[in-house]
Amino acid sequence: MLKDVTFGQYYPCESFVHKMDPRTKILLVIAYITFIFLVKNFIGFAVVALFLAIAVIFSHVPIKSVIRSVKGVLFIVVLAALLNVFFYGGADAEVLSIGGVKLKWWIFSITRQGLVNAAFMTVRIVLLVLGTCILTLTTTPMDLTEAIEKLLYPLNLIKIPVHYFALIMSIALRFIPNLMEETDRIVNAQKSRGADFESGNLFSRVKSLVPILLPLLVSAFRRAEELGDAMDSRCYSGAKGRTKFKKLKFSYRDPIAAVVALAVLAGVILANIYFPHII
Amino acid sequence: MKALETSNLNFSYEDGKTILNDVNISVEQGEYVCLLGKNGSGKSTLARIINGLLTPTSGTVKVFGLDSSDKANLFEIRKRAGMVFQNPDNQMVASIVEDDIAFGPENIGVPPKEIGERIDQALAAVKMQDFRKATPTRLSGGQKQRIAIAGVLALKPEILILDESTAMLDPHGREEVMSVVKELNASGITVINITHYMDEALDCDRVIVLFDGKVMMQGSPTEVFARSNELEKYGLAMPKAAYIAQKLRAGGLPISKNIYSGEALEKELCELFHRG
Repeated sequence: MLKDVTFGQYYPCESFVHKMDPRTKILLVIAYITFIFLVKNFIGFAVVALFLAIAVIFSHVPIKSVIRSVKGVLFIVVLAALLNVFFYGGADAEVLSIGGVKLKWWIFSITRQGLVNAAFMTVRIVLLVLGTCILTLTTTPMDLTEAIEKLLYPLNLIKIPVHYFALIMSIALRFIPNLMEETDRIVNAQKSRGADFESGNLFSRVKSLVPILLPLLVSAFRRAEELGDAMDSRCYSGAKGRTKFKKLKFSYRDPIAAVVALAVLAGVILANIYFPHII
Repeated sequence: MKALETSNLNFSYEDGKTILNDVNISVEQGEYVCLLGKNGSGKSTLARIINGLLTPTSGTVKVFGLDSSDKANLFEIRKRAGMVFQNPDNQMVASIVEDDIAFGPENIGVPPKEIGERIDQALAAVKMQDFRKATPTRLSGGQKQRIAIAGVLALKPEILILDESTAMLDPHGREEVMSVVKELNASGITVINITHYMDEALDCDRVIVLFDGKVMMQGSPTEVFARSNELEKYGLAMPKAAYIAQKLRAGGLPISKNIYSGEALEKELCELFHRG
């Protein structure tokens, strides 16, 4: 049911990647995304994919869990690919033909460039998703928010309360399983009273969500109030005078990761220079 | 010094509805007190006032001599009188047990190294040592509530207030939590257990019965349970075993008067049976 929804949920393990500092991992993912957009040809993608493969191997996360993360965006990938295949409109478009029959019908046409572009886009999106999933698979939400708090620390200087944002984020992540469970329960309760969520047109389906969302919202507010009381009675009073039980520490792993990332960057740039064509 | 002392405590909402009416109670250090009352008797309001989550309309609450209406005392009071709430899910801040227990000590500025030690001690006290790295969502209700108690213990409180902390648990989970609480009390922590389960009151030192915001009865469990007619009037049922003993007595069996717990009833019935 809904409880089993996984979008790159933390995979507990004690691997090299798990033990890396979450700040390094976030910066690496940002670098990785930048690399992907720098890449101009498939050779560059091969370099990036190699980097990804190394990360997966050293993370000890089963390939299955990694691949599964793509499922969630499958629709977007397919849509982007189809649009590219059928609607390539560049001046150099050369329509393909099979046995003398031009593959062109009404506004649709299949071109060589369209096919190449579609492949290119697909690889790009899949690599993007896989890379970011390695981050969430190997880092606990707690570490993630801690790292974000640390990385955004300079914003405190311009009076942005980074601590509160980090706390809000970690509490939100903490309550996802509870809210999922609750949604399940409400859906079942409404179904047992004859509510119909599966038929009708789009409009009536959206309308049928109201009896789920309202109780969920009300209960979320009640939870928030109780959590607030519990936090108060455990002496919470903001960031002032607070200590941190877990301190983020860089280790020998982080410079190694940085060197690997630089090598990948060099690889991508070289690939762009020496192979100016997309294939 | 008394652990807790209230004098002429009143609380009413702005619409004039009176919740607490002239409550005077005191709790000695190391005592185990059960606060009984049916829904709406004002018992949870009393807990919230003790902890400074609500401010009384009039009267005072003193925790180790500290007045809870003075905002400057709140931090100290909350440190010394820890509170465990009803819903285990809604009092967990973090998604990993040790991070959640660390929340309290972090708030009062305990150095990181000592927080680690406090987590170990707190988990040992609630017998959850093996769950330090666990995710609370995967635990049972009783285990979650023990983690919540550990989260409070990490602040090294002198009073533990349980606000209906077993109400959402199954009988097994309730037993787990109550046996931990009993041990904590034996180790010197003052316990105030707010509940409407009479069976939980059997082991305590003193029972206080609230009804319509007033203190109606006070005394040892045996004293209070002996007055079953009054209890009924205040919307409370006898402990199950005591109720059965009473019915058996009324039916003609020679069962002695001071039977309140299941074990005592079992022993009494066995003896009766063997005597023939």
